[in-house]
Amino acid sequence: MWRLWENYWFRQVPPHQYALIRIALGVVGLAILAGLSDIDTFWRLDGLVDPTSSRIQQAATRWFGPDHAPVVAFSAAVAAYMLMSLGIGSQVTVPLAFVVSFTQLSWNRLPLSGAYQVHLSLLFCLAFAECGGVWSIDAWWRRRRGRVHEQLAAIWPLRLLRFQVCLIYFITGWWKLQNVHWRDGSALQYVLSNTQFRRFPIDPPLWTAEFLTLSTYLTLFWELLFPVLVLHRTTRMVALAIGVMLHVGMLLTMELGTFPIVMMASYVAFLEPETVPRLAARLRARLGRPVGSISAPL
Amino acid sequence: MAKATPGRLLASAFIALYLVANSVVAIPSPREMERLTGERFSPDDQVSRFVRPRLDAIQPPVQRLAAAAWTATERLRRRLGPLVRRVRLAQNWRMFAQPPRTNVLLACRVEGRLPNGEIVSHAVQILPGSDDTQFRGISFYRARYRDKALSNSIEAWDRMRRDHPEWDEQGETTYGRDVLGRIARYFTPRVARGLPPGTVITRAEVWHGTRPIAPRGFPEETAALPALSSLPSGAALGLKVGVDKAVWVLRRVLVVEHR
Repeated sequence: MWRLWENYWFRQVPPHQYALIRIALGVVGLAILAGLSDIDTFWRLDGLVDPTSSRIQQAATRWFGPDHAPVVAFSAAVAAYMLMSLGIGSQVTVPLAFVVSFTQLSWNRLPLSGAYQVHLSLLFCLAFAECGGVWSIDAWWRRRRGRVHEQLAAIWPLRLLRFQVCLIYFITGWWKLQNVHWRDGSALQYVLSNTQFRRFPIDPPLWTAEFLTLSTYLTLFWELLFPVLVLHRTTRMVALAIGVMLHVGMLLTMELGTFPIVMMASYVAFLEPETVPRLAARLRARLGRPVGSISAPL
Repeated sequence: MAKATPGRLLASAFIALYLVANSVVAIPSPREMERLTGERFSPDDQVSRFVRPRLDAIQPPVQRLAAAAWTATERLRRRLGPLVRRVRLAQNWRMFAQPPRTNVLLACRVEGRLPNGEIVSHAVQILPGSDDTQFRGISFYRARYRDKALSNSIEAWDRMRRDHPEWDEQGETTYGRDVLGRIARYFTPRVARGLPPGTVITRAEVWHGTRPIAPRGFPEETAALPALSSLPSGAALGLKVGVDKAVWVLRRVLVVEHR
């Protein structure tokens, strides 16, 4: 029993998947900060700030003063995500990025959506992984010092990431099944007519009604079945392909901030651990660069 | 046999805790699920005629299952819930589980007095903050965060009104002041930029409006018809709203007098 458990959770895998997710989540974090870069509006107490969630803000204000605290907080967040994306001191900067995200949520949750919650949850799982093994300044520095081998990493943070994504989709589907508009297939009609989210300045035309009904049901069934579909390699690819299609569709028709991007970034966790280094090696070979080696057999 | 090192045992305990705590906290609460049910407006089309009755049939057993799961995990949730919520990992992600049936509009109106005593005013639509007559590309990305801050404020205000219905009877200057007052404070100097120089601000108002979204199979214009019958007095704010095909029912929800 322990052997099965250990093999499932503690198998060693190449670090490339973690590196890719680290870079993607770091870039998403920077994109969120770009959206929140109006310091007067989102960071100062007299802006659009939730007073019930600003205990950290009040403490920082006492420490740095009312004028400087918002700038310090914003700059610290930018620095953490940049260090994380570049892979500088990854073992420290990834957990630090989680702390920064947590602080940001406590500072002012008003402009943040569920996408931010997803980002935070994924960062939490990633904080336990060795993410700087490749594609990082850390790895470059190690190579310069003559340590050319790439370290393997434990698979359990990756599995927690997968679990988190499955939970998000399944619970969302569960909630949706309860609502009459999802069951009668009209939910997307309402969502795409919402002036706050839609990209196009028109309601969906009447002739798209049946397509939207089909899309509503596809979304509902796909979300409910996602945890089952990802269990097998073949159905996993189908589930991920549908996911990419739906999220690209959202990206093109709705302004939902970083949500579609962060969800698609999380799909990297569902690839086979050997796929990412294999694709990277193929790309390197095409570019005429030497292929790196792994320090232990898989 | 593989050896269970202390490090791995510790990691295993953490993994088990993570899986159980997150699952238990994510189970939908029966009370919240009941609130989510909604009312059906759209007639069936060819696809939904086939699928809807089947989904309607499985919904009650699923709800019973949710209620049973909620009850069975009550004690665990009471213990683990605070921990998960403290690290902000609680998943209450519902992504349009209750699709919005109405569009929401917020406006801020600022009134002032010129040095010659004349009263002037200026009103600006603040939610949605971006122009609804254009395609919203990358350049609208940042406006989305301000819209989200305002819509989250309005949701909080709606929750307060739901929890304290007596506030509605106390008049526009009282209820929701702690949520809407913040919006008024933020927008007053920004809207006042539209007033002539030298104006002394005497009053700021927040106006809230909704417009029903047309159900599937109905043209957009029909959505506004029920709204016309309930147009309250004083709703004319002189705003040019969106594509302007629709009628918005705007209600003054906050007045801040400046002395």
